[in-house]
Parts: sequence; C-alpha cells; structure tokens
Amino acid sequence: MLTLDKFNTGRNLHSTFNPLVTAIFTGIAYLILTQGRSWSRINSSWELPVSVLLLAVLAFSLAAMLCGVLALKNRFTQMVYSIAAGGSLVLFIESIFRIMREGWLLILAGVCSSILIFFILRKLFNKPSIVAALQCFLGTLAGIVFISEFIYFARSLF
Amino acid sequence: MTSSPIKPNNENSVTPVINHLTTQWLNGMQVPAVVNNQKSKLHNIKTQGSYSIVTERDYYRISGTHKYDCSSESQCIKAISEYEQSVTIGKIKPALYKSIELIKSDPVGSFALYKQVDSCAHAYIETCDTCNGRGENRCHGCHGSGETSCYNCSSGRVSCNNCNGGYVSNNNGSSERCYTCSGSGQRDCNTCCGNARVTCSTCSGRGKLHCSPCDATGYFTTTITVYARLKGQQSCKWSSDPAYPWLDLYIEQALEKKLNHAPLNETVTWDLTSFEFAIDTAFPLKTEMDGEIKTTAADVDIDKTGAVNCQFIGEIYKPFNMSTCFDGYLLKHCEKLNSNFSQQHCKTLFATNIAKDTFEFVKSEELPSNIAYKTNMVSPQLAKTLKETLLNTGHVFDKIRKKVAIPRVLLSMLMHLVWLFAVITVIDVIFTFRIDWQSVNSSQLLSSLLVNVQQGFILLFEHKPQALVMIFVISFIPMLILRSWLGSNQIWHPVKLFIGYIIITPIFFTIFSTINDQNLAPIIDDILLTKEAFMHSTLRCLALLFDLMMLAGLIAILRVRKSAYSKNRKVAKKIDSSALNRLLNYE
Repeated sequence: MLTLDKFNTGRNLHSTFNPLVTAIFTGIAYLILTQGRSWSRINSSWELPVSVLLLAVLAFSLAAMLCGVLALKNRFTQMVYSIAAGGSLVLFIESIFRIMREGWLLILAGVCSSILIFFILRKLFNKPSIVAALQCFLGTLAGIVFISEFIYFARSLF
Repeated sequence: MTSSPIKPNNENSVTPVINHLTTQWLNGMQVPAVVNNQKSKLHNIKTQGSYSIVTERDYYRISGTHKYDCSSESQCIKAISEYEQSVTIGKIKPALYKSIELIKSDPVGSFALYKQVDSCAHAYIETCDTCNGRGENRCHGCHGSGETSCYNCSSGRVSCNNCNGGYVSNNNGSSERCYTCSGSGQRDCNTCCGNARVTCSTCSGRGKLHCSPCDATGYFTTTITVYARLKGQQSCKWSSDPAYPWLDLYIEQALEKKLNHAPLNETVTWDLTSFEFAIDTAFPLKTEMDGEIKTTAADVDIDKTGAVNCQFIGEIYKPFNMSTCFDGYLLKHCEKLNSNFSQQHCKTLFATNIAKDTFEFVKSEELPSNIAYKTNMVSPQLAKTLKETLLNTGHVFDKIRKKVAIPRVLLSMLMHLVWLFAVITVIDVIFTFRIDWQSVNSSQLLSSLLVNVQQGFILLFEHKPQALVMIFVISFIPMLILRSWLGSNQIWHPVKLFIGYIIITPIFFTIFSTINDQNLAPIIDDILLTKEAFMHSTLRCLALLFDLMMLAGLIAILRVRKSAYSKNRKVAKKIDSSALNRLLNYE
C-alpha cells in the first residue's frame, strides 16, 4: 500500500494530538479516576449532571489515549505520550508490586533508570522504532486500565 | 531610442547557459542540447528614478521634567507637522543634500533605497493625570485623614477583663466593685488609648501617598521624533520591438519585482555617464539614465525532441521563457520508465532536481516555485506526468512486494514443517511421552482461546485488570520477536504494532496455559535418547501433522512475503529516491 501522508502538509491526527493535548487529557483522566467519585458527590442535587460530565470527559480522554496508540507519529509527541501514559500507570504499578507511597524514591529511581536504558538503547540501535514500541506498550497497558476504570466508574455512578 | 542586432559568435552563444541549466535541473542525465538560429539584439532603454521622503513618528514618554522645547502638546505637534511638510518638499536642506549624495553614490542601487536621511525631535511637558502635578495622591486607606478606625474596639472602650459586669467575687462568696473599671464593666482600649482611632498603616499618618505613574514627580516629558526616510522608485521608457514582443512583458514584470531570478537592473547595462538629475532642488527628486538591454532568442533542441524557441535576457543570458524545452526529453524518459521498469533508469530520472521538487507536490495540483517552472522549462502537464510516474513506480514496487511465488512457498513450507516436526518430537522425548498432544491441536486451542478472551472481558468488567496487565507485560517482548521474524512491511507502524499486540497476546497465553495445565516437568533420568524412543515419538506426533502443516504453511507465506519485502526494499534503497522511499513507507 502506498503512503502519501509524508507528502502532506495539512491537518492530520498528529496535529490534533500534539504533546500538550495528550498530556492535558491524560492528566484530566488520571484526576477523574482518582478523585472523580468524591467530586460527583459534593452536592446531591448536582450529582447526576456532574457525574455525566465527568464520564463524558473520561470517555474523551480514553478515546485520546487509544487514538494516541493508533496515530502518533511525531517522535516528541510519542515521548510525551509515553511519559503521560506511564505516569497514569504509576499508582496501578504501585498496587501490583505493593510499593508503599513512602517508596517514591524507588519509583523515581525506576523511572530514571528506564529513561537511561531507553536513551542507551536508542543510541545503540539508532532506531525511532524503539519509541514506537514503547508508545504501543504503555498505551495498551494504560488503555486496559482506563477501560476497566471507565466501566467501574460508570457502573458505580448509575 | 534605437535597436541594434548582434551577430552571435562562440563567446556570446547561449549554449553554455543551456548546458548549465541541464546540469542544474536534469543533473545526472547526459542531455545533448543543440542551439540554432540564435538572434540577439540590443534595445535602448531609459530609466527614471523618483525619490520622495517618507516620514514616521515615534513617541517616547518618561516621568519627570527633562529638557523640552515646546510649551504644550499642540505646539509640539504643530512644530512636528511643519517639519514633516518642509522635509517632504525639500525645504530642509541637510536632508535634501544627503539624499542627493546617496543617489549619486549608487545611481542603480538607489532605486530600491529606503534609508533615513534626517530626523527631528520636539519635547513638551505633560501634567500627570493621576495626581494633577502634585506628585502625591490622597491615601486610599484613610481618605487623607491619616487615621483609621481602631481595629480592636468600636468606640474606644473594651470589656474589662478583670471583672464580670463591674463586680468581682471574693473568696467568701460576696462580690465587690471592680477597682480596674470602677464598676463600669468597661475600660479604655489599649490600642487606641480610648480615642477609637489609630494611625493609618498605609500612609503612616501622612494622609498622602506618592504617585506611582509619574514617580512622584507630577510631570512627564514626552518626546516626539520624526524620522525622514528616502524612498526610491523606478520607471522605464523603451520602444517596443515587433520582433521581440516579450521584451515589454519582461520589463513590466521586472518593474513589478515579479522576476527575482532576473531583476531588471542586473539584465540592463546602464550607462553611468548619462546619469543626471532632472530635478534636484526639491522632492520628489528625479533622475534619468540611459542603458541597453540585450534580448536573445534561440532554437533549442534537447536530445532531438524538437526545437523550441527560447528567450533570454541580458548580457549573461538570464532565461526568461524556455518554451517547455525539457518537456519532450523528460516525457520520453517517463514513458520509457512507465512502460518498462528499469532500476538504473528510475534512479537517474528520480535523482534529477526537477523530479525531486515536483514529487513533493504529488498529492496536489500545485507546482514548485523554482526557476525551472517560473521560466517555463517544464510545463504543468509534464509535472502531472512526473507525479504519475512516481505513483506508477510505487505501484510497480508494491506489486512486486505482494507477489508470492507458489513454488517458493511450498519449499519453505516443507522446510518449516520438518523443523517444527523435529522440535515437537524432541519435546515429546524430553517429557517422556507424557504430553497429551490431542489437547493442543488447533480446534482445542481455538476453543480455549475463545474462553480466555471471554475471561479477559470479564476481568475488565469486574474491575480486575491486574491479571490482564501482567499477561500483556509478559507477552510484549515475545510479540516483538515474533513480529520481527514474520512481519514484513511497516513492522513498527503504531497501528499494526498495536493490532498485532492485541491479537498475539491471547494466542500466546492460550498456548502456555494449555501446556501448563498438563503439569509437565522433564524427568532427566527417564529420558531415553534411543532410536526406538524417537520412532515412538514420531508416531505419536503424527496426530498433530495436519495442524503442523497449517502452521508451517502460515509461517512459509509470511516468511516468503518478508523475503520479497526485503529484496524490494533493497532495490528501493539503491534507487536512493527519498520520495519513492517515503511513498513505499521505507523511510
């Protein structure tokens, strides 16, 4: 199949999901996942509209995450996306490996060493495909967690 | 104004120019070019320069009273306007003389001049609107009184903290009048000493604050500066020549600055001795100068594709209209490539600068804005043909890439079947014939796969994604290895990578869970590396023959595709065309 995308200078998915949009929506989704249920119960008369709004934003963020997996091509966008997705997974990874909150130094060390390994690999192989693989890996994991949280959130609200 | 024809000789032939253009735009191609019927002519041309003064005002305001020469704003504006009027008509002599000097120093370059020749500044004093020249404003905290209401009491009195309502209780239970407040129950406030007012903390009791916009000076000094800039403009007079009708078009376009590759003052030979001022006492200054412009027309035949009449301008033969002289030659190459693909031919054509520039606009009808298109060396129709040639070549590569030779697939299938069967037999021997091969056949695996996928969705709906995440984490590296081994085009494409990841992970999990369910562990002592043992295993594994054939067939197809893809990619890389590699997604 021939690809004409690389000759195009117009609007594409990459321009829609720039690093900032990716980071913002991942951040919003993360906050809703961790704080959303308590926000939606601040005032009983506002419960339903606030819940619906949060659910809509979460769904949009989820779509942004999955679109990111499918469409990001720019290397810088890919990196920001991977960091955002990895950041969203931190709490989840914490629960899997039973790392306490006090163990943030351990998490920090893990993140730093991951970044170091990533740059060494990129330097050794000189391939942008490593970023693409990382993007796919983290995006898929974040997508699974987000879908699960989304279903749980929706079921607990209604 | 007269015109004079010039006879061509070796020194003033356009052949080197044609050779230079072919080297520049058809680089890498051996382009035989023949030039015939070259005719040149010198045309007299007269240019007129018109120079005027353009003024521009600049306002600058600082706080305080500084040096000034006007008593009010209106007086300042009046002085500035008078200067502007004077300088634009040439009454300001330094500006006029400096302008004349500038024009004389470079009569040709001055046509495009935009340079400051004089300036004038006037200043006036302005009273600060905020403080009306006082330099300070009434304090907003105390409204100028210097005092504010006491924040500790309301009327200068507070409740006595020694008694309760003016009386204190004794030890014997009786009560007596409080000495501190004399029985009133209230005493003077310590903060305001009973006055109910305290000194304002904002102004420290002054009642006034320094005015911040004018820095407490009360005034501003505003300076208005006018910059007078000399601006040149060029016009020309020439006689039209019926033999060279395009001369008029060239000069008109050049004066409108539309021909960046052949500016008028680079193609005309100006006679500087004829330069003179028509008006030099007032603006607009007027100058006149005579010159000659050479026009050349020649029949150019590129590789015997038919001669076309090309037009050049100036002594150095700047191309003006090349009458699509490269069209025939390039068209011939495009047709040749489209009808019969050749690697070398493709490499040569795609390496030319004209092709490279045109390919960038393959998605649209747009044309590159280079000299080749501006001077009509190639036509828009040929650009379309070049774009179509790129796409056709892409389709040729795509077709080769997808072509799978049946004999190669069968051979590959046989090879994969042999090693798969050998591996299965060895595994069976290692596990001492305890593996139930019937449970790992394709139909069993398929039903297990469906159950596992269903379980996965249940985990997702029950908010238990941990197990799913772990499975995906474990299967990521094996998936990448499998994809690198069997995948062909765009292995690292995010969409394909993602889809492959989602599909391969459940399959991996199903295979490993099925084998794991059999609770097998190799027993070293029981392993029989005998001919009989292998024969027995071979017979047992024959139960899986059909499944292994299907698997070997699938692997063979994918491997043959990968091989075709790799070969194809190598050829594309050898052609070394960025556009083609991008089109085929090899870059």
